[in-house]
Amino acid sequence: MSSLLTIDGLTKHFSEKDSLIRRLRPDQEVRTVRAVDDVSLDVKEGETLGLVGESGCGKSTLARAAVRLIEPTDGSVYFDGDEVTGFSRSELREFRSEVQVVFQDPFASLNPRYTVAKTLMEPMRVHNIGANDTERRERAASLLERCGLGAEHLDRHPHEFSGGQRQRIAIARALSVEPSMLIADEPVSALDVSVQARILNLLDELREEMGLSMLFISHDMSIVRRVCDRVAVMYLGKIAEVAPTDRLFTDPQHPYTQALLSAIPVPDPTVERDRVHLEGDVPTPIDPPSGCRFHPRCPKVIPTEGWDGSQAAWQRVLALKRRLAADELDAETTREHLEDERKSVSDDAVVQELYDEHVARKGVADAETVSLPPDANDTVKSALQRLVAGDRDGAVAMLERSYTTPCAREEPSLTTHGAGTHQSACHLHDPSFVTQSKSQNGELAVDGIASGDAR
Amino acid sequence: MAIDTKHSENRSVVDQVGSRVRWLVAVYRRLDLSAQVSFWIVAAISVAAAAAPLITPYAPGEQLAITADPALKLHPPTPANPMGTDLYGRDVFTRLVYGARSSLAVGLLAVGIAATIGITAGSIAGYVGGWVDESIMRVMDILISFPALVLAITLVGALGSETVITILPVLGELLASLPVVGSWTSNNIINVIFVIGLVYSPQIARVTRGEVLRTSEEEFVEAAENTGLSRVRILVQHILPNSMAPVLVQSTFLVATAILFEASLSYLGLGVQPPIPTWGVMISNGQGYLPDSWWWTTFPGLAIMVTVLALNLLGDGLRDEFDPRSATDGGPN
Ligand code: SF4
Repeated sequence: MSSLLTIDGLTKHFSEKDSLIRRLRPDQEVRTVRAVDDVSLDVKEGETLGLVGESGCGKSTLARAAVRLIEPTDGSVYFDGDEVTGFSRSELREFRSEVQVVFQDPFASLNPRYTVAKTLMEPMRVHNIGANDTERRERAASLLERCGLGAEHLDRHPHEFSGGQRQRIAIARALSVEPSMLIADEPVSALDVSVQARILNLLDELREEMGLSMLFISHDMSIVRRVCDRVAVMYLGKIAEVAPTDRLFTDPQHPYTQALLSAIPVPDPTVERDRVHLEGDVPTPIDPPSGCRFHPRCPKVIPTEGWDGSQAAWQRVLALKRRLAADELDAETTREHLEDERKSVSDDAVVQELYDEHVARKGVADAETVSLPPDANDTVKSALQRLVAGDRDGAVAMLERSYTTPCAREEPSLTTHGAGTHQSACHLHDPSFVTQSKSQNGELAVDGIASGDAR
Repeated sequence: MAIDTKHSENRSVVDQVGSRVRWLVAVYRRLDLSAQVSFWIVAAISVAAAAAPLITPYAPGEQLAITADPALKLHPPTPANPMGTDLYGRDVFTRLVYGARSSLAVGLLAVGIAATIGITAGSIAGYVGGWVDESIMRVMDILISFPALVLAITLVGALGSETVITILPVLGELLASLPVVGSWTSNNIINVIFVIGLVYSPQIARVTRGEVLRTSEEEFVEAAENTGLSRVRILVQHILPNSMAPVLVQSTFLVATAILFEASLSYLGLGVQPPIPTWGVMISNGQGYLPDSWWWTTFPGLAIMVTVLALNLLGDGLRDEFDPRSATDGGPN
């Protein structure tokens, strides 16, 4: 199978909206939203490639930039050997009849003032399909019927249809120019669950009938599993893992993919499964985390050199660091709390209380008590002492100095697993990286993979 | 099959007209009471203006004091002259009805000109963006920063006895082909219409620009780009039709403003010149006789007030209906 659409190093950065107020404050720099950062992917002829990730991870932006509905900042795209990123205006118009997008929201993607006939006939007119309007109307009627709506709907307006029917119209519009590839951008996520399956079936039938290639964007792992031949997982503008669907679901390699998969509800309640819990919110693509962008939430994040505690203990230290940096710990509240309970309110007592609550997590429901290695214990406590003394920045800096994951330093590159069709971007799979950490950490990194933060 | 298709196309035209009428009725039904009443007032004034010769037996310039009875100078209302007569023995009611013609024509044509300039400028500014947007909107800002009346007086003064038509012959031909207005081409009223239109075009341009910016963000515009449609067509066929509702509402207000504006200009003697009767001219001429011959000025004054008020209330109602923030469908084509 040769590659039909090749995306090579595609990057899309947005500058945050320029405004008068911003211009009056030259001290504030324009912040860049790095929505898509150096992504390479290819869609092979006749295949359906899934693109999954949480909302805001840049998957729609990637698709739009790939067909130049928005102009990419950098990188190139090839379609059938031609460089799309170098197309002139007229070449781009030609290209539009090859690759068509089906948009997410059928309530927004149809012009409310157009009849169905007009919606379907306009693209044909642009691409000189059909000799005259009579012929085009006939074609529109048969397309509509193929998509499951009767020709009697041709003269209706979008507001007379349900969401599912509108999406059928949108699909018919995409097919009206006889494309060889579809980009389906969350085509069912705006629809009722009961309608979703029927639209997915329709897409599947049409794909087979017309030999279409497809880039299928979704945040729903179970839909992707049903529809796609291969799947690419995206996190904050980067590809985390690409694999044939079977392999991705049975043998996920990237910790993020593992977390996503563990979140799929299992239909059989008797099946016990480890659920990986993702800490924190999805960071914004403005100033994304350094190194591996997943590191602030990664349950398997590699410990710092010389760490000789467990992965669970390491996670506690990182969590403490995160809360300190976010100013979620308040020594004075804790002190008042102790006073209420008529306990000692000395600085040492406050430190101990903070430690018990946030590190050892004594008495916190559902959390096992974890003990830190002795030297870490000391560092954490002296950091807490600084906090109690009112020096939060110092406390953060102290933890930062001693406990920074190597994952934050370097960006992982894609490594190949097995037959070469399976790739993931995680330092755990980079032999040189792991040996380097391993030499100091014993079997820790591997231990991390095995146990994770399983509950 | 071919016949079938043709048949269904014919039916679709009927369908379309039918659905448009149904839509208008639906819009009317959703208006509040004051807007509904206003709609009928505006409709009545329009019909009276259009059917003026059928409503009154006199001509607007007919001096009854000469042709009928010398006593009919500044005569108070009687059943035959329900609004009295003026200094020259002309029937005030007749002049009021014919004045409605000129007032409405001035209002509609001026807004038509404002809309032509404003929609063109605003949509290009909004859609093209960048320095084109900047320069167009700066020109509009300059226009809007002058007090409207001062600008209009200056422009009317600058044009003098020359009409715009000598400068823009194409416009002249277009106007000459219209009913009622066709005979005005040599009168100052053309200049007044044109100047009012120019003065108010920035308001339409601003509304249009904002709407075009908003509509451009809609997904169906992206979908149109995705079909390969040219930018001009996307603007004309997808963006503009979906941006017009607020412009229409704004235009309703502007018709009222333009009518008032014409009255002010004519009152100052800078507006419409005789023999065309307008409400402003009537007030201007009659003011010197106010305490005694109140009917000469009061009726045109009331006419202006009622018309302007009705148009504003109708505009308010339409704005509530078409407010982009209250989600309604755009209606048929
Ligand atoms: S590189 Fe580190 S942070 Fe990123 S996924 Fe792998 S282990 Fe987690």
